[in-house]
Amino acid sequence: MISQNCTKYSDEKLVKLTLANNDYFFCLMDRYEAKLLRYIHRISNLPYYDADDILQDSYIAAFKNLNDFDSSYKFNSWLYRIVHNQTINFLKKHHHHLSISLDPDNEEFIGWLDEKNDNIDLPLDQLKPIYKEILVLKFFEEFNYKEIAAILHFPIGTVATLIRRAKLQFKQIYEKSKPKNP
Amino acid sequence: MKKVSQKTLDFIKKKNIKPVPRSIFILKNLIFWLLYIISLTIGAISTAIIIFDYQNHRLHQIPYIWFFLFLFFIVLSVFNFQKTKKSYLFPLPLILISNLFLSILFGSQVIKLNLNTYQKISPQVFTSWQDPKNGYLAGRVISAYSPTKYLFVDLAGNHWQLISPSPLIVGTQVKLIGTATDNNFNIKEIRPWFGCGCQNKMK
Repeated sequence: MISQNCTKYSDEKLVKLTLANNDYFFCLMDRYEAKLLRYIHRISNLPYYDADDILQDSYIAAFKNLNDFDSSYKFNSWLYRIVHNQTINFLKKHHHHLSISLDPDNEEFIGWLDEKNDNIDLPLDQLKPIYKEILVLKFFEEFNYKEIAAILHFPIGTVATLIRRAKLQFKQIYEKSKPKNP
Repeated sequence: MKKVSQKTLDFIKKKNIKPVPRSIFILKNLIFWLLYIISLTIGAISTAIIIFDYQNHRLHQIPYIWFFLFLFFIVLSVFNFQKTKKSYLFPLPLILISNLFLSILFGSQVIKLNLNTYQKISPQVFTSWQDPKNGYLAGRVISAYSPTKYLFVDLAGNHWQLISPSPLIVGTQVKLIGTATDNNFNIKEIRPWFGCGCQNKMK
């Protein structure tokens, strides 16, 4: 069965194989399914059944546009770009806003929080939507600046600025929401 | 419960969905590059015409048409560039400034080409003011002999005796319409240096 043999192939190789045999597309989809569902949920806070629909639409869009994939990009950046667009379209269509749920499990992002018992269930909806998404891509999906630039279609300098501002705003919100010591 | 990946693959097979051919994407990308180049070229031609009119003392009013065409095609070139791949790597102000610079640079090169066609088809409003044979003269009033006679030097440095039905201010630059005989110019209409002065047309 194809799905059992495809772990040895790179994404780019699988794209080429898919163009010859559609079944190989399952390998690409399966490889990113869990990550992308989590990403959609994180940037939209939508229930998983909506995330499923968005992901399915994204996969179909990716399949149709497979010939447009430029191998000078990383496949996952290209796929995340499609998922990002589909999620934004879904939110616009259903009059939702980006509303992120961040898990307090990222060491790098919350590294500056020394006190172990701090409440990090933060009011993240106060963050600008673009700040929320960029934090997810940087600290949870662990993309580098170049990849984030390709996903969000921003210049790399803008990505760096947005990350710096997002961290600053996050910190300000956190400081405000932190219970004061007696 | 079926995974999204399996459901999607089943759907693709059931609906017989095929990837869009590569040629379509190449064509699409080429079209945006072509539109970008066309926009930039028209912007450059507009720049060239403005420079041409200025150099030939034909700029007796602001060339709104060419100016707006220039701005419109600059904006269009930015839009088309943004549709090309990897354009996102460049900030918008950089794209805008680059396109402005390229248009002006190309425009200054286009001016070196023969613009005779433009000269032939350009409307009356662009008529050269340094054309005494056809009744157009532009320059400065140097001195007054009398309230109706003045000494005048045109853009080419030729001296003229003006016969004016109304007083002129010595030292001012004006554009004149009238008839030239030898070194005399009989004024029919006086226009200010800038603008058409249409409201001050002499009867």
